[in-house]
Amino acid sequence: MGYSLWIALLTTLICLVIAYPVALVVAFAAPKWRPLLLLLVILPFWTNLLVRTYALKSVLGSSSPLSQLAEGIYKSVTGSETFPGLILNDLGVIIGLVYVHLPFMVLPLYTALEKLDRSYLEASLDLGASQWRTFFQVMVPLTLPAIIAGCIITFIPAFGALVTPALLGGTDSLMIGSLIEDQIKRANNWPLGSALSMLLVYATFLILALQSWLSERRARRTELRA
Amino acid sequence: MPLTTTARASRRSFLKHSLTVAAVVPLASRMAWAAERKLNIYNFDTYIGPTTLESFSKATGITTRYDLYADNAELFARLREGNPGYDVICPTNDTVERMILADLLVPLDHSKIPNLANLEPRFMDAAYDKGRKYSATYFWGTLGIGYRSDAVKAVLGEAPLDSWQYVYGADSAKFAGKIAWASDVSALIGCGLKMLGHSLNSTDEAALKQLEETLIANKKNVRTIAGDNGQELLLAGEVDLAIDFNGDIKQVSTEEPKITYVVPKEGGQLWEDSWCIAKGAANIAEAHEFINYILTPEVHADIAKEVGYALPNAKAKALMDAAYLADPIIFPSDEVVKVSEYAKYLSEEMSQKYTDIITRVRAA
Repeated sequence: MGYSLWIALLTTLICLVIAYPVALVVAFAAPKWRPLLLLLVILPFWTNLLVRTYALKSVLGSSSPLSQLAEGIYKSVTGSETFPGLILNDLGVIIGLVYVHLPFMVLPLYTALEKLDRSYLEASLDLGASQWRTFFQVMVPLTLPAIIAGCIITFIPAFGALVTPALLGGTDSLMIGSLIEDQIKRANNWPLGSALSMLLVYATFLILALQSWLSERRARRTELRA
Repeated sequence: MPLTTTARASRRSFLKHSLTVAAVVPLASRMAWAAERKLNIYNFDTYIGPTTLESFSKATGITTRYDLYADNAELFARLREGNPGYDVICPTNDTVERMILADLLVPLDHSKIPNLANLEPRFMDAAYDKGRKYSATYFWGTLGIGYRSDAVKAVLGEAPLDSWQYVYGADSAKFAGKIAWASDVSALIGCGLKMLGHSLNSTDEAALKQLEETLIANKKNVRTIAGDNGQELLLAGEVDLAIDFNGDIKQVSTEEPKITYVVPKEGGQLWEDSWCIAKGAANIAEAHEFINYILTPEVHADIAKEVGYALPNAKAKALMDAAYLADPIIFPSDEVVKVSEYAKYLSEEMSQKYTDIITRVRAA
């Protein structure tokens, strides 16, 4: 449970950090390029998750060029003799989950950034704020609802992931999804398996409730200000 | 507003109509099929000949539907909640036992399966199914260690890889980060118990405790716990040692001859997959015909050529070439068979206990 939480949180965070610049590039690209760039973001969805995960397995497997490159860098930086590998460990689970869930984060961010009134940014820059300040104090607050939405729809499926940790994980990669599978299939303990599944449902409800509470509070505050 | 009400009403009536249609269609089609003889088969993946079903249909006029399951647990979980329409299934010995006890199987009518006489005598009775009332053996084999011979030679020199110690015990440090365990809990625990000198089916608390501690202590040397894909990890070079079934290793060893297989000296797990008829089957006569057809020497031999497992069928074996019959991966020696054991179905309580042990090991 704690492990799933930790993996899902880390996945969400990494997705956010990668997805925001991607969404920015797409949203600020010339209009004729935008559909193509969006297509590139969505394209992986046309392939089944299982197939993509298997593909990652060979792309990042220990005999792949990418893995050998990483091995060379790892060994020269740490001076260690053994390389733990890119997959079949927690790193593999994170890479797999980030890869699979990235579009979930990019799409809401893109929508928000595209709708964003550019004059706010211009005003901020004209008034002497630096690019960084404009980003953190104008752009991020204005797209905050999208950030929250993106985080939620990334976090929830990542929390209950089953295929990715099963195929890319190591011995410790026991996420709640696999735990449920074990209880239902192997131990034949449907009550415990169902109870664990309900835990996932409760977690989802809790997060959604939190989100609606937050957005309501925000709405009320802007109302007050107006 | 009226617009929405009509819209809603029409949606509801649409639903009603479609439900009526949905109720009528299967009835009508069932009537059309009444003359046609059908059979629903539920089997492991990659576990039949390329043309077996086609030639069965041609020979008998029975049309088949063929569904796949990934493991015994899935089969059991699926049938336990009521048979969704399968006639013949192909569980492994301990699952056959579990299904007999759970009253999920229909007894076989031996008079309708004359080809049972083709089986070797030792497959005509079994501890898990006395008198073979419910099951007819399809293939059998062992569970041991698949390994890359070059990597093992680099570590052990000329010494043979002959013990479970290398995957579970202190010697696993020699192959640190290059070992894959199996996610099948009864295989993982059973073979671990063999290493510690206990029966594969031991329910002794102290033995299980000792095994759990051993597994936790040596987990650091293990790369991953493989589902049914230990052989793929060997082939991809991710690991050098994997707990796996002989047939899986056989299949990759044809691609990469350096991959080979051993059943350690402590003994491994023996298994048998058998055709059974599921309770609630609608086509019992056809199911018997199917089982009889499979046990025809030519048919059984053709399947063996495809899947590469050990035939229990004496007459089918006579049709195979010498290379198959002499293959040590497929046919273990008599000594190996003597020290190895079949996994027994212990109890629901023990299934839970096994799962809990592995969960604790993984979470540790």
